[in-house]
Amino acid sequence: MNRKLGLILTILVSLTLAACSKPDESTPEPATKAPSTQPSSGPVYPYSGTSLTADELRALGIYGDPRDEKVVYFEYNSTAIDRRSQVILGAHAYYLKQNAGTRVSLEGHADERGTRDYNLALGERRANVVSDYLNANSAASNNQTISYGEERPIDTAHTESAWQKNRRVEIKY
Amino acid sequence: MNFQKTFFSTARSAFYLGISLFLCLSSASWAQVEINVGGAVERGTPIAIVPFKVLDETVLEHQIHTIVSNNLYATGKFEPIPSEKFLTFPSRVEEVRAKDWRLIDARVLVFGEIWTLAEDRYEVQFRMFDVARDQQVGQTRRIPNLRQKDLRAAAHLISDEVYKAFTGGTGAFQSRIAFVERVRVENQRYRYKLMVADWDGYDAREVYASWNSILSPDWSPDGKKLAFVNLSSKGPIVKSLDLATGRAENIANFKGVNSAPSWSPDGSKLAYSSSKHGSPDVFIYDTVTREHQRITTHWGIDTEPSWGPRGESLLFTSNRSRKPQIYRYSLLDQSMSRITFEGDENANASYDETGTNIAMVHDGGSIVLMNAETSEFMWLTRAKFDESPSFSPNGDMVLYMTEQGFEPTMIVASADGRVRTKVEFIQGDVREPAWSYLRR
Repeated sequence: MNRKLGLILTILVSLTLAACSKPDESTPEPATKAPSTQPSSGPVYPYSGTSLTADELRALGIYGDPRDEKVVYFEYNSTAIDRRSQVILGAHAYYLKQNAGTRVSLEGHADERGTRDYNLALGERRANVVSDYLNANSAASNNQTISYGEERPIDTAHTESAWQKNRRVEIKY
Repeated sequence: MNFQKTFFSTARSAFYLGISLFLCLSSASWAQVEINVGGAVERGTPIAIVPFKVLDETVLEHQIHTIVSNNLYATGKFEPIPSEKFLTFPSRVEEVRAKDWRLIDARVLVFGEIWTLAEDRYEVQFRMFDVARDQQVGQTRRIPNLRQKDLRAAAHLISDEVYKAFTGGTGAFQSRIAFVERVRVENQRYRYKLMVADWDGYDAREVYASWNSILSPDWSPDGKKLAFVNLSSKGPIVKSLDLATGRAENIANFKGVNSAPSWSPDGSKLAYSSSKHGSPDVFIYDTVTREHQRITTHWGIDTEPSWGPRGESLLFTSNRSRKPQIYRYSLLDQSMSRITFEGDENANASYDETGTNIAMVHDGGSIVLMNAETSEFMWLTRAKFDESPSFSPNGDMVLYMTEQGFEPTMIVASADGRVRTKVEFIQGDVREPAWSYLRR
């Protein structure tokens, strides 16, 4: 139930986000149109479909063009797409919308906690949620999803920071 | 080790030295990890397993009494007495003096002899003795025509006989285990090997290998097939391997995730999880009609199906209540109920042979047994990363994975929680152990 609501909410949020992220939409800030180099003002990566400033991106842990981020992360046992992921996926969706027909591969992963079979399912869930998000924001549906469960960790340590890196979807195109 | 020669050719003191030396050496492989997990539980039956007398100079590769001793110890139902305590070393009934054994509190005695019949041909005779009654139990048993390499099998057979004589139950010592071993081939490349071994890990051999992950092996009841999951470039596939031919057949190769196969007790069906309709659901594949029947239809994750002891129900893991918990589906009346409420998460459940206990992974890394009737929990382990519990075919032991000093370690725990033993001959990067049914 919660999850369903969450999914609907995510899609709603993402649609709104997509709506307000057209490159030249006016922003409340007295922004310059000059891209990049000006760290604290203006939509710096309009070509990535985001209206966030570099500062705002940095606050989300994104240093540079959000489309350069090829991985989105998840909370434990969760498939919810957080704000950072929304911005990154929004940037990818923006690109995909303009480059229709791009084949996207989404690889879902889980951390080592939980059983292997459950984590295969969880990894797939994550890849599907990302796929749905991209589709909702780019009107494309050329995504391939695959789950590796907990079989391909980035970091094999038994620590929260390792697990954070492992709970992910990798975006490849 | 020259124990057998020492046994016969030198003086008695040297003989004792030999024994203690032998014990010293064998205690390393004895692999005892921890006793007494639960506290005030009654002891196992004190049993004295006398080194079998070898009636010539032959040096044997396998010490029968050591194997029998390790076997019986692992069940928690027996407490082998170290042989340095023995006052005498009988090999025939007329050599047994009950007093010698009462003194060291032995209730049961096992002893025997080994003859050489011909080149690499042996005969083993063994006897069981009830110390309190001061009499032999049953007949003298003969196991003729053994090669050196059969001596372990003979020891497992003897263990089963002793187990049966003193517990009334069927031993699991002639059963086998399957597991997955990961071997690093190059820097970042791994080879995944599906392995089969004796229950104590001896004689492990590769039965299937892949460059992609292998997981969730499950034995068919007749011990002739192994179902498992093999990742591929398109996703996880459920396969069934015929152990005689080595041929692997795709059982579920649908779009999405196919995983967690489980053979029905009659061997005719295979339950598994697949997301072929979008969300992972439980399905049953009928090996006769070759039809796939959908069992669950929930939008949550439904996986890890496992059959009830008579095939009348399925346990499975579902996150329909947000976190993974165990549900039971009745194939008789199609009713569904959640059966675990303790803790945040429960997963990977399976019944023992009688349906008395359900083993599962609790809160992400402890192994628990839940009484199927009372729902009472018994913690076999309290850990963070223990996984893959699998009952012995008679339900009195549980095989699972843990980690000791960052090394994956395969453990057998007695189902009463009293004894935990490292699976003796298993080492390396192993995971996903699965215990076979009894040989039929």
